[in-house]
Amino acid sequence: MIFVPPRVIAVDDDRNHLEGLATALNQCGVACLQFHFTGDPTDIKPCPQVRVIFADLHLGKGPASDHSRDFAIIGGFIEEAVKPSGPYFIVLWTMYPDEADALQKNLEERLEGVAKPFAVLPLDKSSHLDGAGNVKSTGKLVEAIAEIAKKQPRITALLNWEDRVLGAAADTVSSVLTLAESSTEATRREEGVGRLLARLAVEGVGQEHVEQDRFHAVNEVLLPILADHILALRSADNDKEIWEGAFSEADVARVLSQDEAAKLNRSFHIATSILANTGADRGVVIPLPDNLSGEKFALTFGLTQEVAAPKQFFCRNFLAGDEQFQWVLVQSQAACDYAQRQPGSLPFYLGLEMEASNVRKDTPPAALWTSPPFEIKGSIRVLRVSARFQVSLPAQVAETDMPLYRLRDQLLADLIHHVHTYGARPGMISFRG
Amino acid sequence: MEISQPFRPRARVLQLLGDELIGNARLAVFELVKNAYDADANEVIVRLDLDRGRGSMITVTDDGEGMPLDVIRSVWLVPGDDYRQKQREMLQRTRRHQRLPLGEKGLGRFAVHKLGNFIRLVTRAVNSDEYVVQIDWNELIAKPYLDEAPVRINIRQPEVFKGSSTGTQIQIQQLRGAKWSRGEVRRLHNQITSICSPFQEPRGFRAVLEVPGRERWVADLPDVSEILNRAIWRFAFRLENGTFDWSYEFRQVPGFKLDGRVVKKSGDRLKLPSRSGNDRMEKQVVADEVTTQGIGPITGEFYIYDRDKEVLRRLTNSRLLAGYLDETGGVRVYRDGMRVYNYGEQGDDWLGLDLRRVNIPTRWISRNIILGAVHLSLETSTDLIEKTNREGFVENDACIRLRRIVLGALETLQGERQIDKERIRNLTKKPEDPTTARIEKPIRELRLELDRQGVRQTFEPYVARIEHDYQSMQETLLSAGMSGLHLAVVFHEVERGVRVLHQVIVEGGDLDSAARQARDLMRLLDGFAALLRRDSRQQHSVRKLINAARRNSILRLRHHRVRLVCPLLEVADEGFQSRFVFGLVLGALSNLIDNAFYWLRVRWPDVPAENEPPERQLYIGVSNDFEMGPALVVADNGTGFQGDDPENLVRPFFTRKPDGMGLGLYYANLAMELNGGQLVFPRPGEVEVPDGFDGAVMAMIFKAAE
Repeated sequence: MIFVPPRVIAVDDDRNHLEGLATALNQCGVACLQFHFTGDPTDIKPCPQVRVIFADLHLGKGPASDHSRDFAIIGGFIEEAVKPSGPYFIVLWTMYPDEADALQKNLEERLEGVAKPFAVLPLDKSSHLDGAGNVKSTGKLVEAIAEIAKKQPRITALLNWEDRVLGAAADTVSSVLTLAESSTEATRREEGVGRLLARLAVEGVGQEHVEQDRFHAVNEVLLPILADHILALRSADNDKEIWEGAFSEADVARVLSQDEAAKLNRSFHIATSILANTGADRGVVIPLPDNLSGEKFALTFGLTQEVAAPKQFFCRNFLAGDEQFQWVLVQSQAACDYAQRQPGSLPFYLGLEMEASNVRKDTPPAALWTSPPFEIKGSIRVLRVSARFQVSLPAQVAETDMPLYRLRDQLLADLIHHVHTYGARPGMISFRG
Repeated sequence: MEISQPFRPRARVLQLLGDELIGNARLAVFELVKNAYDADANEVIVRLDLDRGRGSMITVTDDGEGMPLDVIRSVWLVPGDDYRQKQREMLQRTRRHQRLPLGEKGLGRFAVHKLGNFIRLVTRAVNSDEYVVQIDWNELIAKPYLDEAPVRINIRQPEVFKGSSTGTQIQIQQLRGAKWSRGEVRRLHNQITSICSPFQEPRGFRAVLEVPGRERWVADLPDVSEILNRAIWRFAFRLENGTFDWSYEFRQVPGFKLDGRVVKKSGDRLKLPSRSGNDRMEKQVVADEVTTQGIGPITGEFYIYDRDKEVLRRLTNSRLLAGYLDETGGVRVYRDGMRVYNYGEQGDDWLGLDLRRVNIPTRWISRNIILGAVHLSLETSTDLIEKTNREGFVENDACIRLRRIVLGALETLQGERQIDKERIRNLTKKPEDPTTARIEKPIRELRLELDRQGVRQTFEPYVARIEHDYQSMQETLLSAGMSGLHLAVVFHEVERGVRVLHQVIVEGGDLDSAARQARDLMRLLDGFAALLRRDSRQQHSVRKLINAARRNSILRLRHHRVRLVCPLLEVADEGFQSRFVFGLVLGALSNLIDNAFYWLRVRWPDVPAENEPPERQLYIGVSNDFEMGPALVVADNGTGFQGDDPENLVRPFFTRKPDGMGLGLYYANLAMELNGGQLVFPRPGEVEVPDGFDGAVMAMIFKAAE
């Protein structure tokens, strides 16, 4: 897909009603995918990133004594056709606005395998359509839609952020294109873009690695520019109201619970979607391989697990073999080597993942790095990595290990800075009288 | 410092109790009759002396056990005493008739104040003197505080209850409120005769009204048993621990050559309607042991009349019958044979019978054609608590369940009744032309009434849509020469629905519910509007059709744990091709699947655990067993059609589902016909379905692709 997939979908079995709604949405500046529902199961491609679905309640034909079939049709359409993967809300565009709560309850209970709607909000057709089914006043419909958005200030704020970031991505592309060779001739201009992309790819990962993944190569270079564009974003005047409603001063003042903090830390610092990663990727955390575990632990690191855990990793109540404690390795290759696939064995630091309650509270040795607590597998855990224990693995060996998760950039940078600072600490002989 | 101060009620608090608790004078009389029942009386006589000018008097005399002095002092004169409630809780029954007391709050006797200002109570218990208590309410409430308003009790040799007789007599003088008119006395008569159930009279209890000098006011009132004999339908049921036994009788109608019909079933399942208009998500579709928890066994009898002009004109004295039904029609509730107010009173539509009719007037029974009684046991209906103001039971879960049970029983009756109703209609009906039905007048009248009540804005979107769809559908029928589409009945039903809606609003029905009904009426019409749209037929594969139906049903298949058996979807085969309007035929197939979902849940009410195989199964397969063309066969292992004729199954408004509109199969049949096909109901063995699908079998036969 080269175009941005739709974020807003409107679905109705009545073409008149659908067009009236879509026109109003367009007037709001919202690009909306109009979908005339006929029941044909092959008629729409998935829109996993949809954020708002305007849905008529009665998509099916024929009389029915209750709404269970109507709910099921909407649910089936969402689950099998739209397949949303992220947050979204449904605007129930209907003559039966008081069914919105029942629909939400129904979908909450019955949808499986796709994201469930944050909210189902009613938009009363009877207020906006005349007896013949035509929109009475597009202006009023636009106002009603804007009012609905206001009822979901938090999700609206997130959508606004998403929109701004998409804008930043578009700006990144525009700014990069200005670097391409300028020409008044269209064909020449396109060739210029190609040469620019090639140059970016080579700079990103090195000439010999470009062909491994061209997207990845260009991405490496564009990422800092995009990051810069995003960092430069500030509230637009029109969006101030949205952000005013996004959270209250009380929300700001509220102290996070341990659980909430752990969940946020997981979300910000730990990537658990690691299907595309191998044990050779930078920042991944892999279980300590069997050939370094158990009795071989002492042979590799010079002390037993039972000694290392409390003395070097400041872990309480350590019990070898207990699932509460997991020895891991963290891949900490230099960023440029990793990007350019430079040869050499991959450096790993030894870490111990433990329940937060097993973290010793007294001052740890300077060699020890401690992650913030994060929620994983239903419990709050902490990763401790020691700069004193390193191993190297050949890339082809590490690649065969399944990562547990990956430390995102910010956390990884903090870890690497810590261990390298420790390593660079000069020793000095001093005499005391 | 601490001050201790008890409450000091004003004397007028007793007056307030009577006034606030009891809605009208007739209910006040009922309270006194109930007290007689609790006193183990055989008979209570309510005497209205109205010929005395200012001295008119009501006397209520029973032959119960009377009250000894300590009961007068410690119970009768103590408002809110729990004497009866304790007796009831301890299942302490009366000596003579083994009754449980009806009273529980110790307040009912204060209703007497509603009737008059001067009360004289005479009572005598066994082996006791006769006591006379006199209360002058005017004098009593003139005192600042209740404790300063003593009530005098005179002790005397028996004068009223002489010899060995016992009982209580209450005389009420200086009658209050409106004059006792002929109409009011007739209503009181009806009310007193209805205090005891006509079907299950409490053992040895009789309530009688005497109006000396005014006998002729009530002389022509029809005898209840005679009225009951004139009912065309009779239905009786019993529900206990999930077992539903019922009997239905269609009696011969005078002047029609129609045989009577009797259906009886034991050990049936009672199908429950949805919990309420707003919550159709209720999982339970049939009653089980839990449904009657705190309610106990329920029995009931319904007598149904027919007020169609053609039937009425064949009855003798039909005006009297109509008048009686107008006044007393409805479903009453009795506990241990004694009436629970105000169920079944005029103005009380506790089952929502009249409002339900807006959608399908010809199907639903209105209050003015039913005389019904529901019987409960006082001992087992512990969760049904009467409101102090005698306006039914407290609206708790048990009360909601009771309503669903009674509506479910009524629906069983309606399921059978529609068959005989159609037989009557076949003898009386005139051909209906869909293009002659006119909605302008009923709509105009409805709008006028909505304007009058200031609620036009709420209803107008629905009314406008009904008007628009109705007229444009009629125009299409006319211009396209489609009058043979048998839609006349839908048009006439919508027209009747608008009239009923108008009536409900005139009678001050609940406007929110009425608006919902208006909207549903709009939807009914909208459902059929699709049939008349000129969408073109295109070639489609049956696989695509099944896939669409599966997508539309996938959430429900999973939720209700229904296993879909569909061999065609398991292989790379498009199945047969045919030309049809996709949406219409998909709607038809969806209706068949809807039916399957419901009847599977009736037969298999319990959802199996996740790890157990589902019992509920739905089959969708292709068949070439029909000469007319290729078919899509839909079968299930639900309850099947229970002997209903295919002709009835596709008749509009025929249904056996409590919340059904009876339009699903009718629509499916029409949709297939419009696409050159048909809907059929094969007999067992006529079409091949996998083993185990022993419920409903339907086939949508398509026109073969050219």
